[in-house]
Amino acid sequence: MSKADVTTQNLTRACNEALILSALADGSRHGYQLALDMAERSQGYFGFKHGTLYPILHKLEKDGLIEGVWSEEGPRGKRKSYALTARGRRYAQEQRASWSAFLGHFARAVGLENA
Amino acid sequence: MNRFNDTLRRTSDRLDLPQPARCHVLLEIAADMEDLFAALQARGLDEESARRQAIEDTDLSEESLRELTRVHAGPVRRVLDRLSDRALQRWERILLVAVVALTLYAAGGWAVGGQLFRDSGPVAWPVLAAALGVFVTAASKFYQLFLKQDHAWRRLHRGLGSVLGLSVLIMFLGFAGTWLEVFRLAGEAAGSDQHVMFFMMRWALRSTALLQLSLGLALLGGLAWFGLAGKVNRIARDEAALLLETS
Repeated sequence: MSKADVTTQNLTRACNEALILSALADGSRHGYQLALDMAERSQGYFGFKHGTLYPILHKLEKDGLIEGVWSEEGPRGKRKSYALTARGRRYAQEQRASWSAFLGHFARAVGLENA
Repeated sequence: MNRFNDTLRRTSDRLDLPQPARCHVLLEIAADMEDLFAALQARGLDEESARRQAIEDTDLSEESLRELTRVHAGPVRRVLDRLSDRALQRWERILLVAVVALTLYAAGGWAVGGQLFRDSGPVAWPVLAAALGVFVTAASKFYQLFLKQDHAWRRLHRGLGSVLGLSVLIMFLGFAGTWLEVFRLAGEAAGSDQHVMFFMMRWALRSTALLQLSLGLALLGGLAWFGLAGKVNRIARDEAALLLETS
């Protein structure tokens, strides 16, 4: 089983990763922008507290899936922004396929397909 | 003063991360707080409400803190984190006792049986006891700094001064022992018919040995204090610099 596979055991982690990686697919973002982006994309359904975001971002960074870069942004001072790495892009694609399969099975299992 | 300084200081106290990871995390949180504050104000919130909302949204829960520590922990720390606090304290004590016992066995036997110790006279015993105190304190700080990577500088500072204090005491004992030997041998010489040169030679030999032993150990203790205090001060300075930077 690959790390990108979505299973019932790793659902929360996989969900958080998918949301972050998909938000970063459009370009680099600061931590606070990521949280706002995800809330906006899901119309407020997936609301992340910024404090919850840091451990996930740092874990993804440690795994080499995203890269955090510090930059001096004029009077605003130092800011850290995150971007997908090539490995992260591949991982996001694998995970997307895995999510699609998972949701398909889930829909069939709970009878959502015919709803 | 930064509107989030108090919150950052509180977060820093709760953040059990080694440096420089701790500073980087704090800097990131500080920047996000400022940006979020600006975004909330742009949405029409007044300053105080925006400040409170930004603090609430960026607050690290206990679970997030644990997760962050897990992400940044080195291999030793990861193993230690699996133990409960009580078990960890017990194992730390056992480890410290084992290290001290091993060092006493390896170096103590050599030192006590050595010519230098035999020539130093009875004052060498308190010198060795103080040196043992220096070793135990320095070893526990070394473990805390480099193996456990507990970089809470206030905790690290606690007891560190005793390394220097005991090193100074060792040096003092060396000099005091030399003076004591003068009076002791002068007393012996007064009631003896041996040549005074013999007592002079005995004093010179004993004093040189005792000074060598005490100054050598005091120097080692001083160097240990210098290295440890330098590292702890760097950690404290980094943290202060971060708070100034975000002000």
